[in-house]
Amino acid sequence: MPALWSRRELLCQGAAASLAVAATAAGCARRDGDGGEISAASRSALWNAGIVPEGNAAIQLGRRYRHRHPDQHSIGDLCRALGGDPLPVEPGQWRRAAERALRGDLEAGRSIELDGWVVTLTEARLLGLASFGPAD
Amino acid sequence: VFADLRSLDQGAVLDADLCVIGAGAAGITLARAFAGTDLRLVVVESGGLTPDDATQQLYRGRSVGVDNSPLHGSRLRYLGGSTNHWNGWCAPADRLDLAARPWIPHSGWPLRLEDLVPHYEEGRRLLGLDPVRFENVADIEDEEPSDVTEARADDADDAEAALPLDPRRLRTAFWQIDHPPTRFGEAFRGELAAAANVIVLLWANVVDIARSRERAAVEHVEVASLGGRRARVRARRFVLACGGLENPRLLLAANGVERDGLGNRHGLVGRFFMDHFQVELAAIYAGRAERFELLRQRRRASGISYRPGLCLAAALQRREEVANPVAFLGPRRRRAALQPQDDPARAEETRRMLDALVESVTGESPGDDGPAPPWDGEVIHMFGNPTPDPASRVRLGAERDALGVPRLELDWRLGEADRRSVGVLAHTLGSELYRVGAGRLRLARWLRAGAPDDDSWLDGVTGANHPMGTTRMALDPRQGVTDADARVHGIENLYVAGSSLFPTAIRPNPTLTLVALTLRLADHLAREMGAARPVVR
Repeated sequence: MPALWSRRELLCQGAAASLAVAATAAGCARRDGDGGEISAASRSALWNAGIVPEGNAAIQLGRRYRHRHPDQHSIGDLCRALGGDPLPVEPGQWRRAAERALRGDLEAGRSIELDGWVVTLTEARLLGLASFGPAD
Repeated sequence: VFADLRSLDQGAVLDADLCVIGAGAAGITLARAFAGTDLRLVVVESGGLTPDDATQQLYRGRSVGVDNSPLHGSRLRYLGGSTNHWNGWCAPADRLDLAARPWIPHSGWPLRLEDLVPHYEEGRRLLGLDPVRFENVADIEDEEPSDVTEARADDADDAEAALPLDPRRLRTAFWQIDHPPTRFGEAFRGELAAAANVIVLLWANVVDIARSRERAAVEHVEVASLGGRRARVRARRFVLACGGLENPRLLLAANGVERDGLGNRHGLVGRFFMDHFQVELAAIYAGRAERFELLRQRRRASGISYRPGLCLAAALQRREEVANPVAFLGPRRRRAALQPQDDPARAEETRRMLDALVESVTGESPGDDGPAPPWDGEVIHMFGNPTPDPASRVRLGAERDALGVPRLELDWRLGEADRRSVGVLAHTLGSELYRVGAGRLRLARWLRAGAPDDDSWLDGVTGANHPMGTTRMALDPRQGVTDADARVHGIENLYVAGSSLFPTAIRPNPTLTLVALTLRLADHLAREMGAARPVVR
């Protein structure tokens, strides 16, 4: 297990948080484009699963997460981290994948701090997805 | 019996086998240990039976480091000492507190937990506590099991049915709350009055500890009342038992023969000052009510209250290379007002969103709308276990008190290692309390990503008035002021009692441990002086 709260991580988080604050200030609660990295069927199923939260609070926390983790900045990265490969194409599959991931996080103590809130990685990824908004 | 310095002849000389300086928790414990024996004791107490403002002023001093309580307000100077205002929180040290930890410079006691166990047992009887529960050795890696593990209290075990925490990350540690707290002066005044072999000399302030010029030993202590009456106490052995601030002060001020003070050949007297630092960690949003309630203090059938604390598992402390802080639920404190707070309405909105997110994924609600959001109520506090730092110290200032003794200057330091320990505890708590359904944490701003990487977190810190470390024990005189028997290195008949002996801070409040150490010292002195002392049954 990597050392929690190493000085380097603190500094990285600080820089990422500054970016997040700047991004939020620039476009409060606007949803970001995703680049169309996953199939329409998978994306539709994800949003139909009802597990991606909505609202300003979710979007802002999601942006913080994405800015702090550039490797999970796109919708494709987040979906793969959450749903595996190949990606689920049905809402039930997404729900089960998310539940497995969330319970696994709790078991392993995988958590992250977002604006003070201690959330599991799975919650953070779902929040990240929330910042993209549903498919048109 | 009690005596009053002010009614003795000017220049009177009292002879004793053992002179105990100070009648607080340590001094009274020692006096009781020898009451009724063949030894003649003189216990020198600065105050009287009740508080006196002029005497209390002798404690005034200056604080130049981390902001702390005024030095004349954090302790009390009359019979019973600071037990006259303590809160009665008791728990034994953790095994790891006493261990030398490579990741914590200067850590390690010259004693093991096993060395203290019989004395803890006697100490808890003296304080009227339930049996003391020691840490389960299964939690400690790389150490041999020992009988210590058997000394578990059923009551505490039941209480620990508390939260199903992952033992690799967190563990519950209970304080017993001695309620009402044992005020040593009141509780044992009758015994002291009846002890024919013990003279408790009131209104007697030690103004000098006089070392012989011929041999490395104390000859006498010079005492004075505020009104100018003076006397001298000669004894075979002396024990300094004035607390973690006054013990080093008197040693440093006793510079008639050794210019830098008694026992200070290596410049260590007064260094390594430590205090438990208290700071608000997080707001807690209650989860399932029955789990959240387990964070609260509760009273057992014995009448003793137990307060649960949450500590990092020993294995995790090793892995993360941190100290041993403890967190607990408590009311928001005034000091927290110095830290920026969050907007409660927005926070509540976010909390509900997060709960809904989890429910949508698992089909289970992480909370049951138990207690209301505690923004103005209960929060998670932390009781930090400071790491030893020679630059954190007390020294003599330029000013003198009414009796001509230099006043203290306290330079308390906390560093990056202390802050990092807190960060690890906060994150671990956040994830574990949520996992077990007790609640969701929102960390204080100073713990969040992007918080200033400077000392501003100290704005919210308060001390706990638990001065430790200033006459630390160590086998090597270059590492400590006293040896493992609490004898001052290089002085054959001078001992120290109290939390100033702790070379590394312990996780819980110090009183039970300092009482146990004092009882251990009593056994040592009894052997040396050929006395059989009665044991508290």
